[in-house]
Amino acid sequence: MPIIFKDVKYVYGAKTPFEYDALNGIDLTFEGHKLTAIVGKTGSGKSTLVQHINALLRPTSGEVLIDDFVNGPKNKIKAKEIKELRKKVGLVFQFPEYQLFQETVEKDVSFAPKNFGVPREEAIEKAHEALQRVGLDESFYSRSPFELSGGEKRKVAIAGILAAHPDVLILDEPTAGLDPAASKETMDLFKQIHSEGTDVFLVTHDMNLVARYADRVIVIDDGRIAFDGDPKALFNEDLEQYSLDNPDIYRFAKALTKRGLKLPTRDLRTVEDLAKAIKEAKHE
Amino acid sequence: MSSTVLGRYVPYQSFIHRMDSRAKLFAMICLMVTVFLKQVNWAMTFLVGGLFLVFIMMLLLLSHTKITTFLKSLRTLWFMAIFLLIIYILIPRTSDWIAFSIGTFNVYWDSILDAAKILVRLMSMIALMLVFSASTKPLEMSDAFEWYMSPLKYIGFPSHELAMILSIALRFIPTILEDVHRIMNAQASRGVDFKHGGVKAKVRSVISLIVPLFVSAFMRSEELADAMECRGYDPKGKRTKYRIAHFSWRDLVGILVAAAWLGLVIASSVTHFDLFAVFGLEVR
Ligand SMILES: Nc1ncnc2c1ncn2[C@@H]1O[C@H](COP(=O)(O)OP(=O)(O)OP(=O)(O)O)[C@@H](O)[C@H]1O
Ligand SMILES: [Mg+2]
Repeated sequence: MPIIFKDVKYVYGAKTPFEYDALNGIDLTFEGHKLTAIVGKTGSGKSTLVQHINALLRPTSGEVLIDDFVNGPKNKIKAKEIKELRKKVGLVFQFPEYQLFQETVEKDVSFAPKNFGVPREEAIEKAHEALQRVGLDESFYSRSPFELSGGEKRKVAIAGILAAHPDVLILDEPTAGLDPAASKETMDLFKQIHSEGTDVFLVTHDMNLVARYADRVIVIDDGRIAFDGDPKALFNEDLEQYSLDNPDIYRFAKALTKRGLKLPTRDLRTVEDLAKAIKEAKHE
Repeated sequence: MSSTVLGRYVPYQSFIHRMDSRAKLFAMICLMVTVFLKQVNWAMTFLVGGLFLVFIMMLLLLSHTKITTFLKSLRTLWFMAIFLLIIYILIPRTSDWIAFSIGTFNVYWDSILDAAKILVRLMSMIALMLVFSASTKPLEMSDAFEWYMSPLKYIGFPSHELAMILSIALRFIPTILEDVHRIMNAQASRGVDFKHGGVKAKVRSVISLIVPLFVSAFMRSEELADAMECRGYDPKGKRTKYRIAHFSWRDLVGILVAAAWLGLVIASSVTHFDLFAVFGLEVR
């Protein structure tokens, strides 16, 4: 689904002493089917940016076009259109476990599809399917979401958005606080969902995730776009200027190059890629 | 949203902001008392009430509180006004000052004016509170509260504990509002519409907000209690203060102005002073 930001500015608390410019003129075009990562240091405006995509925030100036939906500063939007948009654009918040409220996991996950007009039976079915996908089996269906562990809560919350089958899936720091295995499982799930045709946006601090999963990376710095392009191109730049770290494999590769090993220049995504590259370099 | 919250502290350096919170509280209470003093007749009641409202508007300007903030807070008063009016009209009374009659039922001017009087009082109170809360940090408020309560310590009254509870409660108001905002956003992404919809939808949307809000509030309070205990907080301990408040000329001026107004109004009340009679006007 094409999404276009046209010179978007956003000010928190406009015309008060607390005024803060969170976005300072964002121009972006998302077309084609890519897994896009949005990175940047704390407070750079990533969450603010993505909340424009499902019209939780209206830009202070500029415009965001999401398919045929226009999110501008003042244009009238009908309640029905907003609902349509939010059905298409699923947003998983930073720490989504705080949104759980139903007495059972099953009910909580079927909440979104029900809101979007799916009949009850079908919504429950979708909930079960989504729970299976995030790795929670039948034993969880009738448990209270409040007696789960933090990671399980997170999975329930993610399932709660997946159950609505959005065309665009936005994930705000989905792996923060998860253990490495759970983190990899969820990321692989998002990759899978992406390959099934959903556009995925990933907001993160973790450059390893970017290296491994992203097709395109956008660096936000102080409410502006500092970099937009191929992850590989970004890792060859000096990342410290954005207060970001290089991914582990790139750091390792750079250290090897410094010590005289000539690595073939190619796309490194996983540890296996790096191992292969080292092997080739040794054989030469 | 959080920036337009009523009565939130707004950092400015006005005369009122720089008054000592204890002196300010004292002056506010003096002024508040005047609102409830009885004047000799209706004309005097509304003259004094009107003058007072003008005076508070000046205080609002002086403390950089926007008049629009005040007007916004009045919106909810409409309902109250109509309710009061109906109650007062229904209360039977004996008077010869009939406004109009519905059949054999007489509506008296006294009823209408009584309702109006209460409204003026409410408006004055709201405006005063607004001035106080917008110009006083929550911590200063609870300091003032504790200072006034401290004599009661000698008869075993837990004034420090109460002040601590008060300051924590005040401290957490913005945090909870932030929670409200965050949870509303998360639920809106799941298709909840907080603005439109019938009664059933409204109830559902409110539940989806309230439950997570309580859960997070309880979690927070538990965490806070643990954190305080871990750092050795003892409510019975003797403590020192980081900010030492000094009595300044501002406090003197503030108290004098408030006390002068209080004196004037008390004097006019007990002597049944009628300014209109002085000019030879016959009023009710
Ligand atoms: N409700 C709000 N009111 C006022 N300022 C806000 C609000 N929300 C965010 N901000 C400010 O806007 C800036 C951008 O916030 P945002 O949440 O978009 O950052 P972020 O890039 O998502 O950070 P993080 O990595 O910590 O999640 C921050 O400096 C923040 O202080
Ligand atoms: Mg964020």
